[in-house]
Amino acid sequence: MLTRTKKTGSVLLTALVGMMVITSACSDNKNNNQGNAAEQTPAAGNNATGTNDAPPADPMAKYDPPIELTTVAFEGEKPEYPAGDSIDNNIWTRAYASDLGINVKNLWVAANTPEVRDQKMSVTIASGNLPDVMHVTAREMQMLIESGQVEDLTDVYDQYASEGVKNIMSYNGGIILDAASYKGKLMALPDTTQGGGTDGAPMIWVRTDWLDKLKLSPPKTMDDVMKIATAFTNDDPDGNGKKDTFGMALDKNIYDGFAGVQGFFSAYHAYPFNVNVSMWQKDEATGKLAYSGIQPQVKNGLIALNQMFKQGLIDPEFPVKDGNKVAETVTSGKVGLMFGQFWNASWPLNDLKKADNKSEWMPYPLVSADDQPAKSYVETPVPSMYYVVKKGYDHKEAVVKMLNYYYDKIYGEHAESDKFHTVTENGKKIQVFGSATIQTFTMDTNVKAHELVTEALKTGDTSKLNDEFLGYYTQMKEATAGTNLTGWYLNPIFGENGAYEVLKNYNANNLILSNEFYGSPTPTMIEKGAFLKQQEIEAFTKIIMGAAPADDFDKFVENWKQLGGDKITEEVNEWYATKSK
Amino acid sequence: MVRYKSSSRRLFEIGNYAVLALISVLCFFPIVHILAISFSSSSAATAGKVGLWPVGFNMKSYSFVISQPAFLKSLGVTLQRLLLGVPINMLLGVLAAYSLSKETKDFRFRTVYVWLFVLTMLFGGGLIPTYMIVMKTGLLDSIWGLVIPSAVNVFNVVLILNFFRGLPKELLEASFMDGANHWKTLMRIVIPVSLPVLATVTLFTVVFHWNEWFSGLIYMNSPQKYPLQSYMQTVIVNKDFTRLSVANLTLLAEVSDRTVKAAQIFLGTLPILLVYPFIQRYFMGGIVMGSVKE
Amino acid sequence: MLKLMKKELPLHLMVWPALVIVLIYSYGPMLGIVIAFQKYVPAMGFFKSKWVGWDNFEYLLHLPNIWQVVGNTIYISAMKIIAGLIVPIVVALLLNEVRIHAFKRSVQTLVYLPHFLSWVILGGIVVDLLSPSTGLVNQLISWFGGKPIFFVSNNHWFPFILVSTDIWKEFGFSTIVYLAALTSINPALYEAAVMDGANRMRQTWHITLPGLLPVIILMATLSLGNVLNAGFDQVFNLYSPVVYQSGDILDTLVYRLGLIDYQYSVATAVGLLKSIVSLIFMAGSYVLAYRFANYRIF
Repeated sequence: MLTRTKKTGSVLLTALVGMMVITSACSDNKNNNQGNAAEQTPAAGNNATGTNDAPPADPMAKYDPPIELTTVAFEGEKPEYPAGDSIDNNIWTRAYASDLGINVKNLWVAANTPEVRDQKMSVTIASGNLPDVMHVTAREMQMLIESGQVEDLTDVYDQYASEGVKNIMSYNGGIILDAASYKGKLMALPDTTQGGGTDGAPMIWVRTDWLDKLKLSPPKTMDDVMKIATAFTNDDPDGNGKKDTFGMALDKNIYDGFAGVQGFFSAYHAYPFNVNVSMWQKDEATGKLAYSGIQPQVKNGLIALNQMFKQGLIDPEFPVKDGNKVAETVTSGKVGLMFGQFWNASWPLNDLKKADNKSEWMPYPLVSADDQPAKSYVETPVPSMYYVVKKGYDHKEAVVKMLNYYYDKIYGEHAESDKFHTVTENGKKIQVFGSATIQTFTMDTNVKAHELVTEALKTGDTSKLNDEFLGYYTQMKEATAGTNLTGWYLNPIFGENGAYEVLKNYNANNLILSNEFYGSPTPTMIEKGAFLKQQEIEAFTKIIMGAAPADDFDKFVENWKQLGGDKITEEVNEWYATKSK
Repeated sequence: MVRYKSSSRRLFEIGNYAVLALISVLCFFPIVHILAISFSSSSAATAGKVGLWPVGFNMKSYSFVISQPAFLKSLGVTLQRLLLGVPINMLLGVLAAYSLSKETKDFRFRTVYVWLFVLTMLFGGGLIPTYMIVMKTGLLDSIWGLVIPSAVNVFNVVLILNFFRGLPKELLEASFMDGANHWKTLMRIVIPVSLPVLATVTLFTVVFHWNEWFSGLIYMNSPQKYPLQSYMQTVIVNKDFTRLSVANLTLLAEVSDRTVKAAQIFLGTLPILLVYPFIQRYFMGGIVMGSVKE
Repeated sequence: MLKLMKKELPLHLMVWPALVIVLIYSYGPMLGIVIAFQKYVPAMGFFKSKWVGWDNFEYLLHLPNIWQVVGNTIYISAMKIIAGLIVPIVVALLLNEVRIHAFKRSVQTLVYLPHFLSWVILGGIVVDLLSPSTGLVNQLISWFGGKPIFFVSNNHWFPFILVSTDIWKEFGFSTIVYLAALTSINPALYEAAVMDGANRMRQTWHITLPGLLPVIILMATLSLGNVLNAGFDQVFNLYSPVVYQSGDILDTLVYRLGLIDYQYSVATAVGLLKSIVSLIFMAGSYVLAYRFANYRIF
């Protein structure tokens, strides 16, 4: 699953606007076929979930007479639908109606721009015209729960959720459901398409054609990283005779999914992260939670970054360059190493490949500065979005049924992904899963893609691949053969030694450190968190740039504790105490 | 007007032209840069290699932008908004400015009124209360929601009233002597001699309605009703990218974010550039007042 | 008395359409200012949210660095107000001397162009232009033998960069206003001046500038309404932690503290404070002009 920070997300996704011109020839024939096929599916669905330890209710029983369910929707700039479909009438709305007896109605549809989404939601919430079902952020969920505007879903989840769904939700010791609970009651359904797995764990991306050129080997230790970065800076890897390259990419956010330094700090067993005082680790000595950004190991990481900065291995202009700008230095071939997440290959590295087809990048697992293995850390172990049901809605179990239905159609034993996930129309592939009101995601899909596709590439046997995976396979083959480079990025992601192999090994070797705190922000966190974070970024940036001595870190820690940090630590540990019981 | 030209005058003029040309170049340069990006290949644009001339010239971004039905549709909404909004703004603005341009002895409440207007430039309620009012007055999801709440621009009213006050008193007195009332005086005398300021304010109003995008995104209930600039804002989409999609990434290969954005920015500015010269005719000094004097 | 009322009636009628709009859509939402004194939660509404008195204001005043930020805000906006007055006047006067109509019109159009670009776009261009390694400006400096300056992360330079790029973007807008004002100066005055042998310089000083004075005063007064708005979009797109010291303004601070997104009440409190300060400045200049020059600015 591709998860990324909101900022970098919008960068790439801007380009992902659909170019497909859908012929408007509407075929009634086709719609009828879809309807018929859909009607046959409930039986299959029941079989798939039949092995459950006897759920007292049929997880996908059809309402008769049909019920109405209102919601609100956000739509991308150029949403793609098969001919004749729209956000109000598509395979999912028709299937909900015919199979579940649920008529879904959008009260409004708005463009899915990050700037506007939150405001559109808050005016809707403030105006009091809530739809029956809403897809909300963790903060919005918290607010709605506290003001008593959403239904308790505990009973209906227990009664109706299918085995497959319960399986997903129990991932990572059930913390996903915890995050959607309030005082022991389940108040929302987590949207596992929006984070919650370990896919976002950082790794090292290195430009391997430069490694070859300078006769270097991939990094195994932090010293190797420094050596590579130094060589990439000083030994003219692009061969233009000018000293115009940098060793490591870094953007002004310091922590980021691309060109951030979370993975860098891991080498020093330090785990700072950016959003409001959010990263907490367990202090083994006391058994309590401690804020990652003030641990003494962080200072070692900062000293190392400052050394790199002094030696010119980092672009001295990094404090004013956001992800977009840094991406420019990467795509113009000026930098050859960075810490980032698995999707970096699709953006921005694929752009570089288009401009310079000799360029090659590969991801490598994080390295350590000493003999202890480096651990990748995941700041958001729980999803960022949730589904809530308006207080007083008569059919609250409907959301669980719709969740079951989605799982059944996409991941179930009798999944119909060519109908509900990606439809092929006139030779074009159109994704339709996005029209589903309630969605979910199994955390191992991408790892599975990696395993199956890698194997198929070795054996040439594609019989195990579904439509989606077969698409990767074809593109990866073409890219390797050099006939079509557009799918180049799939190799470093799904191919042999690719990003998913790195992630798989992290998980297998227990090298992932999850944020221990996943409750809602504490009162002092809300009040002081942003301010403390600002102090942190300011202090760290200055230390990295050498504008302040490394010892200022100690001063920052002192201040942090005094200006509310101690209070927050207290509150976080109160939360932790209730969790560990 | 000035016939003789001393050598120092000549020197000044040369310097003047040079300075103004330099300033214009400085102001012109960013849009040229954007134009160059819009015509460049995506790889050159994302690598930051484009300066003032396209690299890897192509028109894909433009054909992409124009090929979308939503583009033309939203352009239609914007034109509708301009046709409704600009006349309403001008009408309300000119009427209010005319009365407020009277002196206190002729219109005792003017100062109270003026301050009632001016205060709204300083104090605002914020997004949520404004939304509630628009909702309560039934303007949500309607073109009027883009026109009515912003129908009075106080800055423009104050600007017009200031110009009205500067008109020669004799002009108005003569009109009243002839038996004309306020309405007639406004229509027949004041407006015709105030064309420069009215042209200026019309320009500002057109630009405002053209550029304003936020209310469209917040007040409309479906993207089909967005005006052009609201639609353009949505170019920065946070698309559901939870799964890798073959189809999407093929598109990524063809059009980069930056070139499309650049094309949209340019297309979004172009109509104003075309309108401007027409409005400018009214800025040419001296003509109007000269005719008034006779 | 009744006669007076009757005489003024048409004038009232002319104001009312605009006034009704303003009363509904500007004064109506102002009732929402009450949330500055609440702990407002959208889901609770104005009536159920908790009243907290002056808490939100106290929270603001107790923020560390708040006075430095207020200082930055005033310093930057004051420079912007002054430069924003002078530059457009000078350009308008220079344009007024131009006799080639095509040139005049082209310049007018071109200087208005940056106004149409958002700071997201312009910010990127500015950072590129000022880059110490590749930026045009620093290349010029090096060419003249100077040392490259990292303008955007230098606390000494940052406020000036803000002011000059703001002028660059916006001066075309005000220039248009002054150009329109120039048209209302009676040409007879110039003719008389020429008779008296006054050169262009003297004409500008004695006729053009006094003719522009009402508009200049008006624009100056209106710009005082922005005394605590130093330009969020611009600062946000150009600053970095290194220049918080010189470039952090009220609006960016409020934004970073997450107040805009979730703490509606504190954000409203900030807005209210800003409005009141602006009001004091504007009302002050209005009263001064009336007292000492017997002139009503608007």
